[in-house]
Amino acid sequence: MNHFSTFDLPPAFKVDATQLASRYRDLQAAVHPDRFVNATDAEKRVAMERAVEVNEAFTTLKDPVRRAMHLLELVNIDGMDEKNTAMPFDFLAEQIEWREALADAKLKEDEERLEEMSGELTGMLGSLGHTFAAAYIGEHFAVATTLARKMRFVQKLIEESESALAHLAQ
Amino acid sequence: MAFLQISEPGESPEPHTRRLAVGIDLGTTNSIVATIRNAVPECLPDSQGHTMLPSAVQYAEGGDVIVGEEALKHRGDDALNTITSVKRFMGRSVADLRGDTEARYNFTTPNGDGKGSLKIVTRHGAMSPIEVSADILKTLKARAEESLGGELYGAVITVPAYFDDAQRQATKDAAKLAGLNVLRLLNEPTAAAVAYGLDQHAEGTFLIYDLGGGTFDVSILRLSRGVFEVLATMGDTNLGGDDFDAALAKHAFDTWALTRALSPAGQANLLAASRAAKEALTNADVATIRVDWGCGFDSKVDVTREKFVELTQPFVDRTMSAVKRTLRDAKLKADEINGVVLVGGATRTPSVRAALEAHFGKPPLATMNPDEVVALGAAIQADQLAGNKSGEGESHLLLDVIPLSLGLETMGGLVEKIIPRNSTIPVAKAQEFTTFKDGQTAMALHVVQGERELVSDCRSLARFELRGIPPMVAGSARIRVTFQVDADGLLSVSATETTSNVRAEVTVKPSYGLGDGEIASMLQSAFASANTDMQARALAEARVDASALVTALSNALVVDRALLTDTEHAALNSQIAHLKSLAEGSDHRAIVRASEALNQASTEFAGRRMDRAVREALTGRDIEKIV
Repeated sequence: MNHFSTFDLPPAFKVDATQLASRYRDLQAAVHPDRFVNATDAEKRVAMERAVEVNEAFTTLKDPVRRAMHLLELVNIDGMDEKNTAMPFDFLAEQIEWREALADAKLKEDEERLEEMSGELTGMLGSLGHTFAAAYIGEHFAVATTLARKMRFVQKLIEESESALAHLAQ
Repeated sequence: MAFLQISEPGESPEPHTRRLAVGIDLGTTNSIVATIRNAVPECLPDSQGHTMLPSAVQYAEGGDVIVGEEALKHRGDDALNTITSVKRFMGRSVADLRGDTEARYNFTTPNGDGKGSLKIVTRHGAMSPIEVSADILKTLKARAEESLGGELYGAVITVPAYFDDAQRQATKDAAKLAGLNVLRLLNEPTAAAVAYGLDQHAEGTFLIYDLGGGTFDVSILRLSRGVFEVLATMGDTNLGGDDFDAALAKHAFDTWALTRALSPAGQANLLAASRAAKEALTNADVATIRVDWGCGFDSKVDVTREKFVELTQPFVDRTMSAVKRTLRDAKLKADEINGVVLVGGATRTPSVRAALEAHFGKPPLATMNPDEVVALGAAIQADQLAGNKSGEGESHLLLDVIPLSLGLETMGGLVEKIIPRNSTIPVAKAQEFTTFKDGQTAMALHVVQGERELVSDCRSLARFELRGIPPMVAGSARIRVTFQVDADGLLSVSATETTSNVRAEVTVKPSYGLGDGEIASMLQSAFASANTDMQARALAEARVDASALVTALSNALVVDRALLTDTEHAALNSQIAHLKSLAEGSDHRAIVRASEALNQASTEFAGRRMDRAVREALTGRDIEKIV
């Protein structure tokens, strides 16, 4: 399943978010089960399947990490497969530092620091995405895979800092 | 009997075939039914002109079921048989009641063993919350049919956004039991957004703050060109205006230093007096809680607005932390919200409005009646789903989400999330699992809903088993479990062992909802009908369904003849003719079978039609851009 073709878009990392969202809405307007409440059971089933597909495609493409993984999938690479690539040592060391800093900020309930880290990590995710886009266009798929996995690590850190912040807010 | 006429989706039926559709807000404290008349949504009043029906049911002596204001009068003198706030018990077991101050009835369970969905003991027997809710819905259905002068085609029933699968299923079952055709279950804040958005022609990002009698929801939606997209939702199905009343009641109880626990009647009187004081405090600075205990005894206490704010602050704080959490989930800051829409009677409380104004830097929007806005939105949606084009304007589209993550129990009582919360519905996800022991031939699947990591902290929705897995070495079987959530937000789960194709399927409802068989038997007893009547009913239903299918498919064949080869076209036409001839006979099973076969045979055609619709959606956008 090529999620880009669902939206009639070329498979590329750079996606115009506004265009994607607007095509998503146009597609759902055509296939959503609400449009088929009085249709035949066969049409209801098909509508349900299509609406699920469109939602799945949108969820995949609007998220940078999932989008990167999906692009790799399109060239038959399972980016999530741990055996695929060994992560560079300095990146892993950096990860450990981030994790410790995060744990420390959580413990101290340091909201400001958590916000800062989340912002910094988001910036990091953006520049990794930029590099991924170039590597993918250049068909340097091994490099792209490592980058996608780095993006995934960084995204997990963002999620953790966000959930810590959410926890503090409550 | 007259056959229903079915038109193409999107096309409106002729004026004389306009279908009667209503929206129903089935609330904790009050319920409302609304419809579209002359292109305007309106709430339907009873003969005395009241639109709000208190969600109270009295199972009176002599077998009468009394619903609404009249029932409410007996909350004091017939407390055990007068059920209020039944919504709090929907989809719940007795175990869920622990520490619930609302537990003022005698509860039992279907088998008397404390397990399964709870029932309330009344003089009419043990009533499930589904049956009690159905009695409220029947009253509203009758009101609507009398007011609109005909049988209802269907209804949209609203539920709190934060309702879990068991609570949603219970609500749908109640509607079916009341004889309603459920067009859709709709989340209350989403319904409110539809009413507000269409009324005010609003565009942008809105936060809906919905504090009802017993439930609290907050949803953030993006409104753009007729599309209502829910970005995130959060809530608490056990927080509402009732808690404000209870806090006031406790204050009075403590002030009076009463030494004995109150009788059910005394409790009901105190709660009613507290509610009256709360309502008075919306405009007054001081109000009095006064309870007449009978025999010339009474107690009273003055409550200032400051005291009320202090007593209710913990509840308001809880709602505000949910608001903040929802903003985070939607990745938005407070100043990116174009407006906060108030829904639910409890949002009249000044301290709630003040808290929202402080957080968002602008007063919340209260242009529409917070009691009615949910029912009005549901009516608009019902009208559209029924195929009636409501006046001017294009049709709108709702893209809603599931409020709570869905998952499976894995080793060690941990939860593996399959579908994360805030996923747009409909959604389907599959996950592969494997066997734990050599030669394992069965696998128990436990479906849960919630955000916590431990199964014991989540809501258990269903358990089922996949049997007949061929014996293999541990870890080599491939069990593919598929979760599917439909547009009502209801879950179904299926499991397949992929190397052998052994299949097991479950629609998640037996734990808390009613099985279809139970509904059928309840309907049967409700109609007190003889077997022949049931036969006649089954035949009539089979004919209506067949007629609807034939009409819809014949229309489609005319519109999209080009999508079929001559052979395919002829084949479908001959099956249609076959079904038509069977429908003239009286074998309802044969009609149902032929309908199913025709549906099956037309699936390919349905797929091609959908492909064409998708192409048009994508190219339509380009044309729009060029123009």
